[in-house]
Amino acid sequence: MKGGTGFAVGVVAVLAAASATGCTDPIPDFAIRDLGGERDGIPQGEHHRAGQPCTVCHDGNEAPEFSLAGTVFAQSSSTIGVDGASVFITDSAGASYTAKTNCVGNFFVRKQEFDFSFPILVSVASKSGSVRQTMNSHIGRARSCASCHITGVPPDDPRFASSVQHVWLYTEGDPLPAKPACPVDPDLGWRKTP
Amino acid sequence: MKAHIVVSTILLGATMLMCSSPPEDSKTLKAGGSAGPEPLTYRQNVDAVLSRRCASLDCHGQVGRPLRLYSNNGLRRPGDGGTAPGVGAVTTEEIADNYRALIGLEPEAMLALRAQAASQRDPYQLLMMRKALNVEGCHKGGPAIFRNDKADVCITSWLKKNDVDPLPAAAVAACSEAASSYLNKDQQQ
Repeated sequence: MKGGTGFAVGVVAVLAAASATGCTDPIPDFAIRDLGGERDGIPQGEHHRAGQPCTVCHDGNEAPEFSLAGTVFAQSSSTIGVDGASVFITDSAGASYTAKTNCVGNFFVRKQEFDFSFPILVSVASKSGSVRQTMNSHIGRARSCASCHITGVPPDDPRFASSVQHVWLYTEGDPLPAKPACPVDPDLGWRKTP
Repeated sequence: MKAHIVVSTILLGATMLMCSSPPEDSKTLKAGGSAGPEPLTYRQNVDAVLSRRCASLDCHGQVGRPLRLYSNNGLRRPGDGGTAPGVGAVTTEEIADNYRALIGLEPEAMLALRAQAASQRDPYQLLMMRKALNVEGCHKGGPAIFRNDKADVCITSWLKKNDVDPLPAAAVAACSEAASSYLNKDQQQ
């Protein structure tokens, strides 16, 4: 029976250690870890983490919950955010909502603002409304644009076949709006290599 | 020590019992033809519906999904000559792989369905239909189709038909309409 007692004590010890270290769900924990730290000079707030999948944290557990969030960049070849773009959302019940991007291109829709029924259809338009891009497909379950829209995935990356470039509004060669006044630099610095 | 042996034996036996399959009944599982529903109709009519309703990149257009679907605006088949999401039409190989993924989701249930006379088949017993209809309430993103909407009519008509007759005209029309429209609660009946 000594062996059995030792085994039981061991199990209890493992469980206690797990509880003490805050035994949590590793999948979202790893997803948050993989996002890395905050960018230098951009504190936590509405301008942070442009281009990242917002609802990895903004799921109501780690940070205030968003029903939909993301970043609109000017072009596919760079990561310069678009200020004042409209993000039009229509859900399967026919309800619609329009969000606006801030000066780094971030937009976010709080649950209490619009709690929609998937799937949703989304399009993005410039501040003037003269330029518009509409998604080719619906969004079935993701609440972050960057769940699928990932910047600069090379062809030899396994994610190449299952992701698309970041959300962009202007076609290459189109005139871009003037850089807005912004407390942080809306240019994340990435450029597409030829 | 003796207690350990007894407990281990009981656990091993229970595990073996849980993992064993019921004996095959060759009469019940006898398929009248191919293992899956008629593939030509799938290629011509049904795949486009699944592409529209199911295969977005955030849903079944992901390699890790139990039902993995390729589509022209979603996941692309590796090594297919540079196709990428949004680039190039869906290929014959991608459609074939989608068909296999669908049949492989519940192969025994599909065989059992196919073993029945066409008029007796109940496609709603299949997981693919129960999930798409969100019958059990655990389909991420909610229902992908509604009962009796165009997509439902299209898919179930294909699952119920025999391998000889063509898809009824009404079902063909339903497939075409479902392939060009998104889920809309107005369609719910």
